[in-house]
Amino acid sequence: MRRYQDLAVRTAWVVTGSAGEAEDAAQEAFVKAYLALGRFRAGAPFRPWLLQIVVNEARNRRKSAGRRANLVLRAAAQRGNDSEASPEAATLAGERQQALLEAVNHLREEERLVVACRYFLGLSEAETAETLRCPRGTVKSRLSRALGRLRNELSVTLDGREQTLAGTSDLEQTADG
Amino acid sequence: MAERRPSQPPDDIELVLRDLGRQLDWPAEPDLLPGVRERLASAPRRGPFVSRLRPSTKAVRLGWATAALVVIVALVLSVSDSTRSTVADRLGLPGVSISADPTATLSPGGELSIGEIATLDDAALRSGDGLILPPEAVLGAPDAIYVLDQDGTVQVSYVYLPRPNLPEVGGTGVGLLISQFDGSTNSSFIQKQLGPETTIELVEVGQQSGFWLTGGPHLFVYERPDGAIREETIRLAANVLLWEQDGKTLRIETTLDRNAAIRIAEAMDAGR
Repeated sequence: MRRYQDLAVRTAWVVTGSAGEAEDAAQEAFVKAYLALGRFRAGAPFRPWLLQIVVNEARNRRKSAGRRANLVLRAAAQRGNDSEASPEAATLAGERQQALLEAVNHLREEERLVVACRYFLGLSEAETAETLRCPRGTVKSRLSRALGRLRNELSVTLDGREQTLAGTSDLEQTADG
Repeated sequence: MAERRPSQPPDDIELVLRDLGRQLDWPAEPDLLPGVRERLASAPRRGPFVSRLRPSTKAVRLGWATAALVVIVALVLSVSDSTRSTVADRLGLPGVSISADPTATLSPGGELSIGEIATLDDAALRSGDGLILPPEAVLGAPDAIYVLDQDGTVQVSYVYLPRPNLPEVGGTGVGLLISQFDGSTNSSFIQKQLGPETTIELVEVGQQSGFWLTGGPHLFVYERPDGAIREETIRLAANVLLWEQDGKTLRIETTLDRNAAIRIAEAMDAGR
């Protein structure tokens, strides 16, 4: 069980956005998995079967709470965590990550979960499909749409921020001069 | 060729997303096991057996029979006459008459303090990171499987009743016991706790080193993955083969000779 508990909690967290609810959902999922072991097909991969139960539990909690999950970055990442980079470059890297995460948070729920399963949790396409109970073709199409949206939104957001930064820099130079 | 502007999103957004995943404010890894245990204890008494109830399935009937045996034996052993009706009610069996059966016996190996009886699926789930299976082609299926969860370490034991090729070990009602648990051993650990009557022999199990203990060893010492040193009791006071396989320590307790024990050990399968 310990082998899967971290992944189970993380999976629940990308659905609920709350550490407390994620832990509760993962715990309940292990109990349900234990009680449902008889329905587990011998020879089938265990991990996505368990995660399917986790996602279901987490969705129920999120619906009860009536809110959308909002994933957040670690504080270090928001500041930019490349110790060798200049402060400006580190800030830009931190802002870029923040912008990308905001774009992920703005995705449609089903697209956001596919992105989270594939890139944040490291699941394969087949595992993602089973975890989210949808065909692999659906995973592919959702992922493709999601990546398109992320590219667009990131481009717009960063362009806007860069123009703001450039404007600030011009003002600073004017003031210095 | 047009130079890419610094604000342009990277072409390989998938790499950037993977990196983002490493920077998320993930919840700290909790220890879910105590909470899961508590919930299971308070859950309605329906286990993996229930969901398998299909009258045509031989395994299901066997599972129910085993479960029923455990319940009956537990009741026979632990419930006094005056409280039997109350217990039956709480089990959801109102009106069922329970009487003492002096001929009832424990499940195979039930007196060895090796935990709770379990299905193979249950053992695989609770052991978490890989279950090494005994060789069915050599031994047949185990007569009972037990899981013991102690100090954060899960031990899985396979019990075999005596049979022509597995003589009973000294009045225990058991012919062979195979156990696996997280941890490692070495000769200096083992020798520390052995009495003067016990001999230890270094042997080879496949490509691994192992230890063959004879002369009635009572316990041995091993190191858990977290570095803690633990004592482990020998359950049958028989000959013991200890070896490591796939990160687990395995133990065979038997009256068989060294070579026979090694043959069984070499046929163990890390297939689950």
